[in-house]
Amino acid sequence: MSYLDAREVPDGAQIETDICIIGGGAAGIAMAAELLGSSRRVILLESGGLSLDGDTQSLYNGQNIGFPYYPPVTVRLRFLGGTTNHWAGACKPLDPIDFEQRDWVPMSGWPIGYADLVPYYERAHVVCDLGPVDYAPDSWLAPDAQPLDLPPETLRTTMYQISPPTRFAQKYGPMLERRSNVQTYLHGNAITFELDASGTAVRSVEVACLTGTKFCISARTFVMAMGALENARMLLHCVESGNFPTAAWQDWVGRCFMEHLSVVGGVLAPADPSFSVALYRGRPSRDGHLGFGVLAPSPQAMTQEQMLQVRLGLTPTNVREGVRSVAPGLIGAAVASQSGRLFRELGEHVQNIIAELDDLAVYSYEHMFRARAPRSAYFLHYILEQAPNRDSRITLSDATDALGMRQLQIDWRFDELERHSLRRMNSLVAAEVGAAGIGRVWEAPEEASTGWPAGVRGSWHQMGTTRMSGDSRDGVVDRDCRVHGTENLFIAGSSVFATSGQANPTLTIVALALRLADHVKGLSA
Amino acid sequence: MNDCSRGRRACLLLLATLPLGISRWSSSSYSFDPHDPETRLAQLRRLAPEVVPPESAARIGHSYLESHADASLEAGLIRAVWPEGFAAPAEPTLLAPGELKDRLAAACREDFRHRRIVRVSNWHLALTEARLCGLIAMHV
Repeated sequence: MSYLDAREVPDGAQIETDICIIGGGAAGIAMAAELLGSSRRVILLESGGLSLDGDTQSLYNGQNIGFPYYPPVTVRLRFLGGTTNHWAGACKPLDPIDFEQRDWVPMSGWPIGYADLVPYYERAHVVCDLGPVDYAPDSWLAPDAQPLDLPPETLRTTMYQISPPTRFAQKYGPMLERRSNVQTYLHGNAITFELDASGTAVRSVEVACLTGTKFCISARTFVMAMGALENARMLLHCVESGNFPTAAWQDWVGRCFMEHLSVVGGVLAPADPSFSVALYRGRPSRDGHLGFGVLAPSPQAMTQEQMLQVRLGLTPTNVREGVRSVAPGLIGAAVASQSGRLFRELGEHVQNIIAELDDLAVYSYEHMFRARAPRSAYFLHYILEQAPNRDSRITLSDATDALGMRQLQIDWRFDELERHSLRRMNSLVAAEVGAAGIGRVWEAPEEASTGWPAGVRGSWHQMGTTRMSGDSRDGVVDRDCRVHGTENLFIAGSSVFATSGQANPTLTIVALALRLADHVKGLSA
Repeated sequence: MNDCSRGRRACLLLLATLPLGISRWSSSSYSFDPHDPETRLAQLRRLAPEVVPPESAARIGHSYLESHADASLEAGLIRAVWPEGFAAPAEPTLLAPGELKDRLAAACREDFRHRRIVRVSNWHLALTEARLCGLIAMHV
């Protein structure tokens, strides 16, 4: 069996299945792969095809009305595999403290704990082709790759693992093609849900194609796995259309939009010219798995300083410029040859991923050019957690897309707690590297217009727009990722994150998807 | 980065290398009481330009003095280099530049450890090194 083309389904058709997964990115594919071979019929519905298509990608068009953010059309990829088609592969579980309620972080705390995800992180490691679930630096140490000698009760060195990176469509697509219980429909866009008379169970999802074809898929269980922007957009559309009876959770849809703030907060001038940051720059572990180290405040330090999660990467001040100068040509060519339809924003987006995810970019740069530039100083590149903020949100604009759905608008906001966390982290780093005799820190000045150092931006990690909560008055989905008050509508992906931590979200997205797959299998049984 | 900030950074880098540097020994001698604060201050004034480049240090020092009212600059420096315990009878008469460097470096680390940190032109400096630059600024 090969992929099915939704455009070839007869107009007005009604297709029946047991489980309908909407969205073929990391979460959707991980779930579908987990359900392979089960006794349940599964439909995986993907908006795009097998490669980039401008018309489909344009369905992501939208506007920004808050703090400057990337054009929405550039932040995700809308074809099978989703953004795993060009992700860099950095993986790390959330920390236990990320799931806890922190007095100084409004709306913090998940209804599940770190322990609930531990078995799924282990399975997610396999899905993402990572090594053992080990993030202590020991496995990556070498005589020339040592952690900075800093007090761990203040600043700890922790590792990220780097997936090859796994291209989910390439790796798991052939399995989804062959098995009989999973059917993958391409080029079909979920438009709206139809509920039963009680208003608590979704009966079917309406699907529309850019060709004009429309049909319905009926299922016992529905899973939205379209990413944090589109999950919110479709739910907002359904809520505004009156599909769901009024409920408290609906006010949370689109709210608490979070990103990881990326900012160069300063420069470290090392005392010793032979100062080595090899552990922090990407290297293989003893068993061959790639990883890179970061510095992060300990839980004690975060509590004492009342700060959010932050991670610090060290980038030689001159290599970044080198990456910037070579990336556009290389990546532009790659995108053009892959799709044949290069559009400018996407090209810039990919360039930015290469140029700005410095740990990975520098690593790949050095491997590509077999050269290490002199390291006179290092940028302090911080990735900050963003606190949940009700006013940071996704809403619908008046503009509509080619399917007649209202486009999204992003009102990205963050506040004093994030700024406080950056300042405290800079001070902690300055104090500890000074006390250790490592060097001195220069802090990037804050711009008068924003109160932030120049260049603060997102990390292409959209999270939190259908947040998980124990109570339907505090969020959209419950601890099982089920939309509050519904019987059979679930959400997979980073939109359910109650807080974001500092870790890249993909590994947690996959872990939550596997957990949801187990739950759905249990329901089916 | 302009010349001014380049010079400042070069100086800061040198400050940061205090623990590692080996400096030339000055053959100058002193005829004062080694325990007298004025004698110690004179030693600092004399030797400081040998452990940090005076021009850049002076620039940082001026910035420090402009932004921080430090009434304890000289006394604080003396306390940093000759902390309690160094005033014992075994205290050497005069410090070699290398010894001064070591003591300054130790004092700077203690400053950072105890969060005695000042920001000068956005650099996070140990109070002792900022004061040393201030001292140089006052006399260059």
